[in-house]
Amino acid sequence: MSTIEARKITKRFGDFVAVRDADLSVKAGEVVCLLGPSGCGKTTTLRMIAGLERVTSGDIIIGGKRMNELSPEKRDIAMVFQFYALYPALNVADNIAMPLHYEKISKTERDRRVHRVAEILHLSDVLDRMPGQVSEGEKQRIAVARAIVREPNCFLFDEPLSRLDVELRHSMRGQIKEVLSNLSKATVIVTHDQLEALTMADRIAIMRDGIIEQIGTPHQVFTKPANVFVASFIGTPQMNLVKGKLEGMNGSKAMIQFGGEKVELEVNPAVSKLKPSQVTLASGPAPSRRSSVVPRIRSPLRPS
Amino acid sequence: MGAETLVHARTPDNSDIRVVVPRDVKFKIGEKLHLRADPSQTHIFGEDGKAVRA
Repeated sequence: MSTIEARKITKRFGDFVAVRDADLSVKAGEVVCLLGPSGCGKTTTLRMIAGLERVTSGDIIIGGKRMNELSPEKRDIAMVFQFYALYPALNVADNIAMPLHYEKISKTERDRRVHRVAEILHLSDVLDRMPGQVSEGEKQRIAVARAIVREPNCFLFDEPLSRLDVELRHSMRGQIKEVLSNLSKATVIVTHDQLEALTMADRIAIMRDGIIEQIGTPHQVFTKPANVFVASFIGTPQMNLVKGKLEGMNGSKAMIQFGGEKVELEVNPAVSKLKPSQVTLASGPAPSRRSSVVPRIRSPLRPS
Repeated sequence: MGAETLVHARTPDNSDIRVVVPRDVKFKIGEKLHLRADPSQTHIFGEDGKAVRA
């Protein structure tokens, strides 16, 4: 059973809390991206799952078994790092085969597995080359091949595409997603690139200051941000955030004051339960395709 | 250059906002704009920063 669960995991470094009470559950065949700004705790979360950091509290469950006390090599996981960590003195085939050297399998079986993953990742033509003789994209695929050749329980990726140029990153997103979807393993990917998360993930966990702010499908996170931070973080261009004062309701419309000007805005019924208070309004920058239903909201603006 | 233009604007209380408009819509720097928010694409957050949902 290929599943990953983090139950209320916390990591402290002295007084600093890097990750606080994080809950995460990844099903077999599911790809979950940890997304957030630098220093938000996403890599620390991944390293705790991998066993490279001990959890201060909470539990790591992989394949239904508690892993807290187990070292990384006993967790049956494969991790792909930002820096591919290829062995420069070994050719591509030997790099891919390296994890198998610690398993008791025959050379025939080892060669069979290497050639199979090389075929999946379009590396068959470069198996005899040295790492210095292949492109960045091929190095990245070698790192992925080395991770999947052992057929582990689950996969962890730490910023796997951050070293690639934009064009290569775009094509690699699709290739990795395709490979992962055929393997039916639980996968966690750390990224600060929201486009990467939106295109590769089945669900996204958005983190800030060591806390998971929201977990949901890319569509859920984009269309129903849980809080101002998520609304400000997701979307390119960024959503517009404007502070105003809720002054009252007029039927289903809220009367909100923005910078000395009152506007009426059609809102969901839950807003009527709010007392007059400061609110933040977030709205995407894209033009409405249903202008006929747009209410009478007019706000004078100056281009800056 | 592209199919759309990204307009950077400022509200009277100095909040920066961005609006995507078709490429043929032209503005001058300093021009006053009138914008409408589409309620289906608008979210409201309370004082605590959390989304207010039905």
